[in-house]
Amino acid sequence: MMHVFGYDDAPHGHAHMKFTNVRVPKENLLLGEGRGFEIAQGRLGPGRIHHCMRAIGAGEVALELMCKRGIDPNKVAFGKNLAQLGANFDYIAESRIELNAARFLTLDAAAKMDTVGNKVAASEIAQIKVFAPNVALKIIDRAIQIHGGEGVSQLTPLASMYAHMRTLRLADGPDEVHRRAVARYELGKYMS
Amino acid sequence: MMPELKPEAISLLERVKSFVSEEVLPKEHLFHEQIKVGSERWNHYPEIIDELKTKAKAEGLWNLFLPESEFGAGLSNYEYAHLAEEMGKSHIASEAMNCSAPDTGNMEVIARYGNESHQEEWLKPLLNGDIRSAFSMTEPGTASSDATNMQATAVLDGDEYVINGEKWWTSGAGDPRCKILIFMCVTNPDNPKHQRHSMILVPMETEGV
Repeated sequence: MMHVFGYDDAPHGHAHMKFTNVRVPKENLLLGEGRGFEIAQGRLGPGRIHHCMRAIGAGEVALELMCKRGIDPNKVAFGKNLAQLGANFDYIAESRIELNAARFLTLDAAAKMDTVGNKVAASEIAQIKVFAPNVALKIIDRAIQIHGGEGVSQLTPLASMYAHMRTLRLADGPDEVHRRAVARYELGKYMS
Repeated sequence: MMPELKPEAISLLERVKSFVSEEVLPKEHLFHEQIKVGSERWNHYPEIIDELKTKAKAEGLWNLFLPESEFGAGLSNYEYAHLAEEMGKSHIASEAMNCSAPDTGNMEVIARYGNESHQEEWLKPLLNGDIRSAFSMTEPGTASSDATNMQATAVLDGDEYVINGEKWWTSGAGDPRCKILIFMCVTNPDNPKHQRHSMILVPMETEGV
């Protein structure tokens, strides 16, 4: 089993598997030979909306933890709440703005999928798959910072949330593949 | 402008919200406490999951992800997206409502492309939350960000495909309940790049896996 930043994610797990002369009935082939990518296109569209919206939910949790820590009366430093120190005040505002932007973008992509289909909404789906996990990751990172050492420990959910969200920038295609799709779509408008 | 949610979707959203905050989040710690160590780590799963699944099912918060389908809640992607945000607030909420990856995508694929016996053998127990599944795509030996690079093969031999290859990051395959893989491999190496690969159902218990 593989580890993610040291987490093995039991009981789910991430397996490294070998397949040696594995025999299955020919009826187990789905749709038809050579049509794997056709299936993949249909499969991944809704999945990306789900991933992104769950990422936004995780971002909400991180922002909530950041705010609560920021005004915790037991955590006063240099005579002030943590929320009033350094850039924290701005971080809280930026986090809310980015989270709302990610939500609107993702819901817009979902609405487009419903009305014009996965294919026409392909650029929007690629855009959110880059944007939402990055926004959530940044907010989790800020929440970790305001928690101090506790933020990277087992005492808050933030460390495992960070590991999971960092992975989501690779799972279902890394950011670069989705940026490539968006850029090709944009350039395509001007190429004949 | 964002479309408004239908009243049924709003009520479902409220119910998912309270299920996550009142049932799931207060019990999340049990999930971690119930994971075993040592040799039992991968042949056991936390009891709290079944408890939450039973509750979610009884409350009709089950298989909400399947759009316009005879099996699911019939929500649009836009409507379900709102529920997914709430599920994202706990890392066990999606599974509690049978809405977790990779099962969701796999169920959609089997519902759409599987034959009757696949649906009987794999889709039904997946929809029922009795088994789990995984998706085998990424490979260690190649740049898998370009999915056309995948090298695992399936060759037809009589009535059977013979599969060879190596995969990693097959998430969910560690779970003792995981019974079926959707496996992406080359079947037609001479076709154009995007028509070389196929998806094949591979039961976890098959010899050679």
